Amino acid sequence: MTTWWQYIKIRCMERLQYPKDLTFFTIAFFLVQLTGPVFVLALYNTGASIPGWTQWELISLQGMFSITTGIAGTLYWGLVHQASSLVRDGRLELFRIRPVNTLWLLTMHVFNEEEIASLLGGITVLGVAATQLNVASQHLLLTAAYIIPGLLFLLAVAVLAASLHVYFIKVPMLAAILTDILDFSKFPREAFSLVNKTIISLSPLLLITHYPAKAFIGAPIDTNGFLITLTVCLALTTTAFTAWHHALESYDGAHG
Amino acid sequence: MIRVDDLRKEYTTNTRDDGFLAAIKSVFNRETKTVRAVNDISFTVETGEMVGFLGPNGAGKSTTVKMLTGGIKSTSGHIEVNGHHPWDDRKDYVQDIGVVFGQKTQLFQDIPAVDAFRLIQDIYQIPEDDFQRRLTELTDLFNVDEVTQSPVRKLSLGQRMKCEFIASLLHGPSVLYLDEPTIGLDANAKQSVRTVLKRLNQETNITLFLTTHDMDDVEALCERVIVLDDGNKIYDGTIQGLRDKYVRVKHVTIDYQDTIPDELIETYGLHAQNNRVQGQIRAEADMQAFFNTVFQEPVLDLTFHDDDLEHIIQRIYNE
Repeated sequence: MTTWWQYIKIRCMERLQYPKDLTFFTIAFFLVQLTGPVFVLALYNTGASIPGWTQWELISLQGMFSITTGIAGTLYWGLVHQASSLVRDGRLELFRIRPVNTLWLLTMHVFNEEEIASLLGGITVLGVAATQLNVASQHLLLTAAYIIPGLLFLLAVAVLAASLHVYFIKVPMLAAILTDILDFSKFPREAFSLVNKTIISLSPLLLITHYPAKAFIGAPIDTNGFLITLTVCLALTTTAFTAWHHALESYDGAHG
Repeated sequence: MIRVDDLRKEYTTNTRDDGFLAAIKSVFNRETKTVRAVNDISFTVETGEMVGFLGPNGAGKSTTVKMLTGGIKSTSGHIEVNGHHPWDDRKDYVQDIGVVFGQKTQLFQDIPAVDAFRLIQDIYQIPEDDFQRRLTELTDLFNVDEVTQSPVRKLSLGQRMKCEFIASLLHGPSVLYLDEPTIGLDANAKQSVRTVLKRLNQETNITLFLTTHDMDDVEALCERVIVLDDGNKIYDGTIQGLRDKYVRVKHVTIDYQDTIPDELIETYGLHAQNNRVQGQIRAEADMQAFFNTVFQEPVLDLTFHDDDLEHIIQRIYNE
C-alpha cells in the first residue's frame, strides 16, 4: 500500500504541474454529474415517472452511479483506455521489470485524479437527495456495503478489457461501448420492459446503482435477485483475472 | 551468470495480400503464419562479463532480451539468471536486474527525476541509508547532481538517459540489460556513459548485456559479442575473433614524399592521387611483400588498419 500511495502522490504531482487544466476538468467532471439529476427533475416535471421510484429516489440512484463510477474511474477504470496504448507502444514490458504484480502496477499507473471530481459530484447529489428523503443514518453503512459488489463488477470489466487489449492489441471503441452499456445502470430495474428486466436482472449492472440505491432509501431489497447478480459478478471476476493471467502469457511484445 | 539453453520464441502473425479487397477478405478468411523470432539459441554469460548482443533489425535481439528480463514467456527452452527463471520467478528475479531502454522511459516527464527515484526506493524497499548512499554515488558517477531536481522534460537527452541509468541501478542489481542505451546521444554524452559503465563494471563486477547498433559502444565496452541473424546465433566470441573471422581487407593510406611505386597500383589495385595512395588489400595477402613494395620510395605517412567493426557487422548482416 505504501507503493500505491507513493505512486498516487506522483500522479497527483504530475497533474498539479498544470493547475489551470486541472481546475477546468475538475469543474467539468463535477458539473457533468449534475446532468442526470437535472434530466430526472425535468422528466418528472412533465408528469412522467418510473414505477416505484419517486423523483428524489431516482436522483439518489443517479448520485449512486456517479459515486460508484467515480471511485472506479479514479482507481482502475483507466485500464480500459490505457492498456491498449501500453501494449501497442511496447511499454507493457516496463511494468514487468519491477518486483510488483504487473496488474497492480498498471492499476496504480492508470490512477485518474480527475475522476475524484465525479465522485464529489455524486456525493453532492446524494447529499441533496438525502435531505429530501430524510435518509436515516443507519442506511448509509448498508449503502456503503452494497456499493462494494458494484466496484468489484467494474474492476472485473476493467481487467477483462485490459486482457482483450493484450490479446487483440486493438479493440477499437471498447471503452466507448463499455461506457454506453454502463449507462443502463443509471436507471432502476423497474424502468425496463419485462424482457429487458430479466436481462438486466442477470447482469451485474444492477450492482452499480440499483441495490445500493435501494439500501440508501431504505426500500426492501430482492435478496434472491441480489445473490444472482452477485454470483454472476463473482464468475465474471474469476474469468477476468484468469483472462489477464493468460493474456500476459500470450503477450509476445512483437513491436520491436 | 546468465545461462540460455535452446531458447525459442514463436508467435503467430496474420498475413494477407495488399489492397482494400484483400483487407476485406481477411476479415472473413484470416490467414496466419508462425514466425520463429528466436530459434533455439544457447549461450552463457559469466558474472561480470560485458557482452554485446548484435544483429540486424528483426534478428530477434529485442525478443531475446524481453525473455531474459521476464517480459514475455518463451515458447520453449530454458533461461537461468543467477539461479532464477525470469518468467517463473519474476518478482524475485527482477530484484536483481536493472533494465535501461533507450527508447522507453521509466521516469515521469513532468516531475523531477528524484521523485521517480523515491518511488523506486519504495518498490524495491531500499532502506533510507542505502538509498541516500547509492543516490549520492550514482549522481556523482553520472555527474547529474543538480539536474535530478528539475522536471525530466526540461532535461537534455543526455541528462535524461543518465537519470534512466540511475533509476535502473538504485537497487544495486548484479545484471544490467541495456537496450540501445546511447541512441540519440551526442558524442560527449555517449563517451560519458561508456566511461561510467566501464567503471561500474570494474568496481562492482556488474554483468552488462548490451543490445545496440552503435559499434562504438560495442568496441568501447564489450569484450565479447553474440551476433543474431533471423533468430539464429551466428557468432559468439571476442571482438578480435570476429575480426579474424570476418575481416577480408585491410585499409591503407600512404603519403609519399615524391613518387609512388607503380607496383602498388598495378599489383595491389590501390588508387593514387597526387602523392597519396589509398585503397584496400586482401587480409590474406603477403604482408612482407606488400610492405617491401611500400617502402621502395620514401614515405611521409602511413595508415594501415582493419575494417572497422561497423563494416564487419554490415558484411555479416548482408551474407
